[in-house]
Amino acid sequence: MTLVDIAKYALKDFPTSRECSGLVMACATLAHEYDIHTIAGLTIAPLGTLFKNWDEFNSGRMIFADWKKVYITAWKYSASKSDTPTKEVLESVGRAVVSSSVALKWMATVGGVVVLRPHVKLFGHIKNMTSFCLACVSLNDAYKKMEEERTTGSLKGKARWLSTLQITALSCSIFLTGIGGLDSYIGKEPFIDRGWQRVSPATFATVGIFVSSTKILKAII
Amino acid sequence: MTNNLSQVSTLQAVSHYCNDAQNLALVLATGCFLGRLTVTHLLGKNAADYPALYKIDAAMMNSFTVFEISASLRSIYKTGTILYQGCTAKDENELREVTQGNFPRVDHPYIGRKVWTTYMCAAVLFKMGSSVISAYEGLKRIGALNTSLSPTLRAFGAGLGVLGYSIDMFDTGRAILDGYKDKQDNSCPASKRVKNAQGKDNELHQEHLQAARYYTMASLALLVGENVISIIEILDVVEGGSLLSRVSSFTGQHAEMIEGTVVTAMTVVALAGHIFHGATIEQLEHRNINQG
Repeated sequence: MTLVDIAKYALKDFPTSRECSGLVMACATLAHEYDIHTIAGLTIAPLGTLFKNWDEFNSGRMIFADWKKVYITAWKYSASKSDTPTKEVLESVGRAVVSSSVALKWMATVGGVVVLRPHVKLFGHIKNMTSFCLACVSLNDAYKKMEEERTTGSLKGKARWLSTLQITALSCSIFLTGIGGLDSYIGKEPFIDRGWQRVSPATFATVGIFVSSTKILKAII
Repeated sequence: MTNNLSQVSTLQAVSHYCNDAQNLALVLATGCFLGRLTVTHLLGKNAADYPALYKIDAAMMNSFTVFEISASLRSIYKTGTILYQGCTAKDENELREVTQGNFPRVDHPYIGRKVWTTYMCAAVLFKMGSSVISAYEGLKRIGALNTSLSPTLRAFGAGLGVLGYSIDMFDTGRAILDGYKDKQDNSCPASKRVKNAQGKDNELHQEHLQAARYYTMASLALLVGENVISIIEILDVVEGGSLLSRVSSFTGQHAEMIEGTVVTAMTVVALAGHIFHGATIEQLEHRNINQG
């Protein structure tokens, strides 16, 4: 990690990355929760919406590439003497489902495609559920990799940091997609009816900031 | 062009082109413009009945605000890189090697290290100024900022864009001329970018690189044109019978059509450039397209 690497990441890759949009969205939510609406003449809410829409577009645009990858993985899997595991096929299908649901949600909300409007919530739930499963699989892989590195004795310095950051980011993502997804699926009413307390949006926003910061740190290291 | 396995098929090139967010945004904006024209003129219906055509277009305009913010920041890095390379290289030969052929040939009569570094930095800074002003206007449009910039300042921003892209056009023209001389000498520093370089791949890379420069030139000319139209539209000189006032009045009346046509032309040129040359250049430099 040199200063040039940091400058390269901060100025070249970061502004259009998902980490940047995630960070801006989470900061906007947190600011809203604490009644902060303007910072240095900049109204925060529209900025949050801009980056939210951009993030959905940026994620949904992968729809073609992801389905192409499904085709290639399935083709490799079905070939004779194939060593492609079923998990790889399922993971690629999962990713394609996530990008498809995000793209459809974007088309229904931002794009104004009327036919898709009644299914917006469904797309959101599918996205959350699939992302949750994918994050769990990735967490399992990250643990396995760390165990292997520990056994071989290569878990030192940079590798240790990278593994730690990876596991932290994935654990937080599981919280966001799991608990956050469940919260949006159940809705407010059952909580109000039974007098239960919901996880506050500020908590989700804080965890979101933490996830983005961890990913940024991982990219810089 | 030589028939080679490294050449990328049309379908893969289109898919690769659309993988980039900025390219996809341009394609969608063009699609919306053409969709509106089709609905209004070919189907004889009211385009307002299809709100998706307007909403997706507006969403793409907002996406371009993010791209402008990103372009402004990237310009800082680019200026730093050009200055660093220009100042630290021992001589022109080394600079040409370091920039992998972006620097002019050593036997160039007028453009040396200082001139090239100065005009390239100027181009990047002009474009940065233009991007900052565009990003400001974009943030104003979405409601993140309250005050709008004066028309003079907005026209100044578009003017900076004209200057920046004109310098880029000049440099591309210079690169085209240098490309022919490189071919004669059988020397091409850009070939270092080719991974797993075989003789034939180097030749293919050089051919595609030279041909792609014409598409770059056309795209830059369209960008200059777009900025000129913006200046005319912003200044809104409608009084008097001068040529400028007549052009301004015409631009004002047909703004959507003119801008849509320029954006469509830009998309077509960029997509054609990527299909015929850009994708193969990427494939040769990174080996990432044909592998899926």
